[in-house]
Amino acid sequence: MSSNKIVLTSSDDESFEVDEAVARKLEIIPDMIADDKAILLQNVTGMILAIIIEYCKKHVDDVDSEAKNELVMTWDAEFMKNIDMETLFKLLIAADYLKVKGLIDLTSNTIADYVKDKSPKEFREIFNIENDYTPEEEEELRKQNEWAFKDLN
Amino acid sequence: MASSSLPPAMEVGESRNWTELPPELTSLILHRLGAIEILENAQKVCRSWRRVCKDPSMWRKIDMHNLGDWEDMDYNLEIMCRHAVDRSQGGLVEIDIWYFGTDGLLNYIADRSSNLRSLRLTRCSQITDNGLVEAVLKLPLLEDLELSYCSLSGVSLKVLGQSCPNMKTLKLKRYPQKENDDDALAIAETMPKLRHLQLFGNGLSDTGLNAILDSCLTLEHLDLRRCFNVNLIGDLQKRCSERVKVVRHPNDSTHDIDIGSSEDEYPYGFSDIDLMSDDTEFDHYYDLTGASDYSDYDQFDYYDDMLI
Repeated sequence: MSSNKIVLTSSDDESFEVDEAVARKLEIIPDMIADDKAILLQNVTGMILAIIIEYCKKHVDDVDSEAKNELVMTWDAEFMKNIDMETLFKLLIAADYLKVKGLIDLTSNTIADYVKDKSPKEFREIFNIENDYTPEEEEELRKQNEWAFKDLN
Repeated sequence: MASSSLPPAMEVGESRNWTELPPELTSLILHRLGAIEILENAQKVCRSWRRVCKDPSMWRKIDMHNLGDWEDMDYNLEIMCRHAVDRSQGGLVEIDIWYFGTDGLLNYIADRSSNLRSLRLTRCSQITDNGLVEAVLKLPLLEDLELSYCSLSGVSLKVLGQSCPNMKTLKLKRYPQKENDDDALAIAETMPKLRHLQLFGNGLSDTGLNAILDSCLTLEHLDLRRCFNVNLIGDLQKRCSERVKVVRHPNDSTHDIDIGSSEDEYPYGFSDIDLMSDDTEFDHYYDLTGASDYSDYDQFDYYDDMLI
């Protein structure tokens, strides 16, 4: 069975030849595929593009309306398991830019699962975020949490 | 509350500042944590995250799933929920409440969220039949309703069906009933557009089931687990399997049903034995080891519900 091939090139000049069906999972692509069989993706590095393509190959036959079966979900979990936070960050942004819906959800869910039940301080550590609240503001926030104490009425 | 493990260790070096992430992606991540954690933790991290957490788009779907342990820790979830609803600024379409809630809260929600499409109440023992009806009368666009162990009579179910002509998904989990077709007949009479019906522990008989099959012509998924007054054999079984894509039989395994407790742990004393009313005629129905009949059983079909 012959299929059209598309060449995707990353910002750092890495090229990947993929079936058109796989390329179309990057929903930004259909706008770009005209006669051109080579597409330059300026905002995505080769390393990240490789990950995205691997995901798309696995999910090329997905039907949107169907729930994912257990095997695919296991694959997805394994796939995400070995990716570090820094890469997850880049992956999420790239998946969003390229409009790969399933991967956007998978990546954001994976990140969220890592930070369930974490305190604000732990969030800051994991995400390298600076606390830009003043002590007064933090106190104010604490007071505004009117649900923090059971109703005394 | 269980703690989660961290992702693989990062290489030493430049570390990304996650506040650089576009707000809609931050919102996507944080939303997954559920309303309680967003209000209690996420929004306290930094100012830009607080802005994201106050945006109404974050509150279109409110998930207040919890294991009943937040109440133990002195948090007033009712107030928290009202606050969450306020943040939606009228845009609420989906809300999921576990182990808390009063008629007052429900009507607070209904008064402010006429566009509500999906309402899920699990073990909200203080919500009364009247309170529920009063609220639902204000929610004409409701199409997805899930009530697990909440008070609702067959009569009220009828009123509900009449007020919500778009009802597509109904999941009703009850403590085991004696033979009783009230619910089934109410459904047959008022919910012709149903696509997904789950009656768990319901007392419906073959009569009720036939009534449903007569009226609900677009039914695709029918879950009758623990409905032990239905004899899904012979012609009736044939009728079901021909008409409906997915059918769960009364004796099918329930291991994939999320009823607010794991198989081994029943925080509120809810167990297969406690389930029942005083009536001991139910004793022999309980197959505590799980299913005996796997003929239509496709465990993965239930995943789409559980993932939500």
